Amino acid sequence: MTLSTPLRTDAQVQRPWALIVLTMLLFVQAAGFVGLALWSAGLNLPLWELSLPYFDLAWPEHQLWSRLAMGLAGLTLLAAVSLLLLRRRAWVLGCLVQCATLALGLGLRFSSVYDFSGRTLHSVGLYVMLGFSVVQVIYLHTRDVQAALASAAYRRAREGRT
Amino acid sequence: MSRPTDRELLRRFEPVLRFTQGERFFPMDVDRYVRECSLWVHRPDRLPQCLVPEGELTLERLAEPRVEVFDAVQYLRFIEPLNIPELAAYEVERLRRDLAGERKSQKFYAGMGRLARVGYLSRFLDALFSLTLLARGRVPGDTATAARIAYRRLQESQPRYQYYARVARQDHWCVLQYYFFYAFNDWRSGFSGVNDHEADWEMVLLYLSERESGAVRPEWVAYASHDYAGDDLRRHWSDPELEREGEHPIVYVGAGSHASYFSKGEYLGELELPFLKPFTRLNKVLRVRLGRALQEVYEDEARPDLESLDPLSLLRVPFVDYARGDGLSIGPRAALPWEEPGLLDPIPDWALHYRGLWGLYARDPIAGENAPAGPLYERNGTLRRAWYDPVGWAGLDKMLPAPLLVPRIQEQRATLHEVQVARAAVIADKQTQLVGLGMQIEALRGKSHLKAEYVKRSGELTALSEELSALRAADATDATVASTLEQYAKRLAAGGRWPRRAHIRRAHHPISEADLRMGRVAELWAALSIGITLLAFVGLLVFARQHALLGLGALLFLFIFIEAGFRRWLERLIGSLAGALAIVAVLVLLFEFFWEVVVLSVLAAGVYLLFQNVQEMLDRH
Repeated sequence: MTLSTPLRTDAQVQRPWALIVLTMLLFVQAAGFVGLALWSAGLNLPLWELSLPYFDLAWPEHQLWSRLAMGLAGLTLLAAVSLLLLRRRAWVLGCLVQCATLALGLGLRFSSVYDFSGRTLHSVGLYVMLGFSVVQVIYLHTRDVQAALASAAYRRAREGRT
Repeated sequence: MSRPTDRELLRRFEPVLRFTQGERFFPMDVDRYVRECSLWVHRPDRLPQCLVPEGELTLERLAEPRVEVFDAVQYLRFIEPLNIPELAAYEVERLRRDLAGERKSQKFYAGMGRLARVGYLSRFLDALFSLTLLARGRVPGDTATAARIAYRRLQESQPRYQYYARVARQDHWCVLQYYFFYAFNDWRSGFSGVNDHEADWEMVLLYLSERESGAVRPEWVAYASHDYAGDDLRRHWSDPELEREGEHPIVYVGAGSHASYFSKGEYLGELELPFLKPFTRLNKVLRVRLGRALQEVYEDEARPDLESLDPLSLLRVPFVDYARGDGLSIGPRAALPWEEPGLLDPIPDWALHYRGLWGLYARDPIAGENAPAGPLYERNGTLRRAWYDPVGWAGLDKMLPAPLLVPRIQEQRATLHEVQVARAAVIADKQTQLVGLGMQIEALRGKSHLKAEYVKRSGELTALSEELSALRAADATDATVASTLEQYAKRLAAGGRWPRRAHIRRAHHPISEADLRMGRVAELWAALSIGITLLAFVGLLVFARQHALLGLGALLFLFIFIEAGFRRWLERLIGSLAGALAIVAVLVLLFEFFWEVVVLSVLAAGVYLLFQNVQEMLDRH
């Protein structure tokens, strides 16, 4: 017999302040990714002077970045909606979005192909993206958010007690 | 009612041993074993020397005094390894019995492998540990087979199942000590365990409270088990984890290892390699600190340590001890009864005077493959704690038998009361002194010619005031303790129970049903993953050397991801990965915007303070 209980519903739980902020930040981040995708694809302006020497791409580079940004926007939106509805997988989706964003940002920052050093408009944009993600990772790991969402560690501890 | 003899007590509570199907060695008498052995001595920098050849050794000769040089090790040799024809004959006979279905009910089925139950790094260490066996001294591979043949021959001529025991009385406890001797431990060769060695001594202890009339009541039971000590070894007689057959505790015996368990099941253990100990400690500290820094949340307050979520450390070699209890049962109301026990009180000469090993000295530095010493001694010849302090061995030295508890609590209360009365007199005296000093100081205030006296008495007043405060604090604490003792005594007198398992810090539980359900794919993956990693790494070096490092990183990440999926750790992995990436990002941001961060932090602090102060001012008006 397991002592596991169903997740608390929205009506039962008082939504903590950190969770509200996190949800808002995720919506803003999703909007940012949508903007990035539109800018890259709709205006047909390549964001950066890019070249990808190791891959033979069928798409022009700006389309690649546009689709990537759109994919991230979808994932971020899904995470934000999950958080809003206090879904079981919201925490891991939020972490996944931040993993992808941070890996992409750090990959670009340390890439030998692209130059994101210095204080150009592009690099500052990159740093804003990184900072935004860092703040969200902190919020995701706060006690209030984890408790409210019954995070992975929280659930595992509970399910281990049978 | 007459007081029962030690023998009667021992037989009344003798344990029932339940073995795993496939177990080949059972508790036996030492007499027949010793007659099959030769006695040897290993002196430093010398070849081993036979002291008594096989066929001439008896328990009496074993107990004869022998003077040896320092660091010499005396040991028995039960088995001479088989020659090739003997080994072939044994294997052919075993195959014949398998084909005829004669061994079906005795055959061991391993179930899901131990490697499928543990992490990637542990599996790598396991491969390393297996390699160390080549360098360490160890029991030769066919020794186990020879021991099985020898033991079977002994049992076929005269089947006997016997234990040794004694009754020890210490600190108001009556302790029944049961010792089980096995001819061989074939855990490694028979059940994929950690070690093989000749001879095995195992132990079960029962702690009884004894009344003056001679009536006894069992209160605690302790089983010797791998890597457990003190409080963790014992269970209360009423603990549901302890199974009983009437007044006989049931022991589930580990296959090959003969370790004792309270519940049947498959136990995942861990072996720490000595050279990895510093890394293990570092890993634990880092995990606990990081978990606290990130304020990880756990529902159960009784499990605050992060380790509780991941019972196996990454840097340890895994092993499984099978204690299924589906094989032979020995004991009261079981398939086979115990023979008349061998009493260890008075201590027989063979137990007292022979301090050597009871089987082959394999010169293994980790000691896992060396035979154990007798029931009284450690491998180095010193007395075992379980022998000279059986109560302290299981952490019971801080407890009293239940019938003595209430009177002892009343004694404690009386003592505490006496202390309080004496202290009240001291407090009253000091209080009078303090008031007197206070009046003197008030009188001296402003008298410039008495300044020195004023300063001196002011110092005395401060010291006396602090002393009085400490006495009152101690008095208040003692009052609370007395009241708590009173409540405790009332609860006990009313038949109330305290938490029976509160003393257990680290309980050993069988592997859960969920873990056993991981399935064939997980097992296949566990068996292949280490080999695939090494092959893929070689492939990278041969075909894409320029990307070897990046490729290896990607490969390891992919494997860890798959592992995490099998073990339901994906969420933790993603959360940890996000945390690690965020730390790197913070370092990058600090590197790029250090001064901006400093200025912004100061600005933010200033604005916050301004806001707070203005708000406080507005609230006042």
